[in-house]
Amino acid sequence: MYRIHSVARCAMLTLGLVVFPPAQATAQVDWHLWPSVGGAALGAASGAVVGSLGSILPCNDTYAGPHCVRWVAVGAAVVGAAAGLAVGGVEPDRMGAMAVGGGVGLAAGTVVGLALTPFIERWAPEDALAVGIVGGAIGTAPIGAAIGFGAGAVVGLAVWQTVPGFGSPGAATVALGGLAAGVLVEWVIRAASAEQSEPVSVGFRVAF
Amino acid sequence: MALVTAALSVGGCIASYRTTADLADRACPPAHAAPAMGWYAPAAVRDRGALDAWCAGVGPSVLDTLPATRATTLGGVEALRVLVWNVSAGGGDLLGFLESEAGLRCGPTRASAPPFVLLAQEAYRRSGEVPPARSRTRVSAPAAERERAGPRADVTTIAARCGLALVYVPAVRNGGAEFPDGREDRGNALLANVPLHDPIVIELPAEDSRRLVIAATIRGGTGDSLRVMSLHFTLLPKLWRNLTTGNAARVRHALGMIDALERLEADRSDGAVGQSATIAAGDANTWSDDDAALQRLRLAFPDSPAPLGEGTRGPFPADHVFFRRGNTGLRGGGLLEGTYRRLPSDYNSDHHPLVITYRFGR
Repeated sequence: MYRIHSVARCAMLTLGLVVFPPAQATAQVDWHLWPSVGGAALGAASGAVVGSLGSILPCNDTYAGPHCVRWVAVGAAVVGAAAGLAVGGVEPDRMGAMAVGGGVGLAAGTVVGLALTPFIERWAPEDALAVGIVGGAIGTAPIGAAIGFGAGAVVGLAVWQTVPGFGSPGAATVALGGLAAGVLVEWVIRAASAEQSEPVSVGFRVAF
Repeated sequence: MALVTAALSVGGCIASYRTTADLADRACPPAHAAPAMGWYAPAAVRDRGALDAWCAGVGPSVLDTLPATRATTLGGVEALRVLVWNVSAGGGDLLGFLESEAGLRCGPTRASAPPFVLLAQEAYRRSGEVPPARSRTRVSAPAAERERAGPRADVTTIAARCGLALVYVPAVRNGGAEFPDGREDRGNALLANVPLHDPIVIELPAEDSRRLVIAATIRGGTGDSLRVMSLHFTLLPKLWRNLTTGNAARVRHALGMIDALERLEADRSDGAVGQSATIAAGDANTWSDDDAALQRLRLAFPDSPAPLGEGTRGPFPADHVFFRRGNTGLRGGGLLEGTYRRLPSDYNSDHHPLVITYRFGR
């Protein structure tokens, strides 16, 4: 029960944090209905995919197992939907660029998935599509994905080499968790900065 | 996008793992099962169709429950050595393993040895009884075998040479190759120098291929008994299935095995509560001692030994032993403390064997 409550509470807090700033901005700028709906759908799909991908390994070591994966995926989908709603509603062009990135990722991932067919036993077209869907989720937020995965991989490898018993599954867990977190963080940053036309300064200069 | 979100959001809903002894609509097991075997299979139609396609490629089960070479203390069995090993088809040196670890001498002059049972996975059999693959038959790639010196003998040949009782139930074809002396299948096996009673087959829910648990009961000299189960779970399902189920494959297998065990005990107890002492062991294909499937199994087998904390397949703890005393534990039967360990040699398999000793109650 504690896990469910914490996931729900986290989702609610994040939803509030992400939605309220753009909601205030709607008094000053036009709200674009259909881009916001599309953004919410894209954000939800992207969040669900990376939430599932990033939680499979850590959840595998819990009693809840697949149920744990589901709750993380739902929580990440809520965060993605809220962020997508804000980005699409306030800044449709930016949402369009993220959708194009997702499409490129989907195509690239599917090509990679198909290329793997001769090398993996019982690899089916739906598996190639699964790679494509993961690619699409990453493609919506490639910078966050790259930073998150890179940071996670470095930390995971360092801990693997220094902490006995951590092992390669632990390193993979941290790397994939970093990727998922990176994608979600980029969605949230884009939502939070959606009403601004200038790049956001967060201690250092970040430009998307 | 909505479909993707929905699919992944329901990921983690574990598909049905319930089992049934009703095989009326199955194309495969009735033709291949020995009549004396109890057989439990997934109840879900989707699973049954997939399992039929794999099952169509294998030959008949082998049921030879009385050993030709008797154990040294047969009739008064007090302690039973339980060996657990994924033999990697012909890769593992099964004959050398039995001679070294069970104390057997196989061949024209046999020597009796202390009572033991081997719970084997990926045992293979080459036979003309393995049918040719037809258009809808699923054929697995052959097990990856390491090169080794010496003859490559199948499980039925070795059991006969060593005079052992054998229960062998093939799960899948071991590659599509045709040999002059037949074709190959592979699956789970029980080999013992004590009689094997009440053989049971449990087909696990369909994931990446057809996986089995096989069981039999061994009776001690004082009337106490122990059920032994050789299990083999899946390694990784397809990526699509893994993403959309939240990696539920091994959990499904664990729950399916537990469900079938409960059903078979209900079937055999005539309404009375009857839990026999049970050791379930084998290749769970886990990469962590905390795997969700293992946690479920430890709940069902509360008297299990603590994990060894060392890899049995490379660095990964793939193989495990689970135990519950059941009602018969009241008679004093149980695992002998300090006897659970991983054997240092892998005998050329990609898995290290495990060993543990059970003492029958009085």
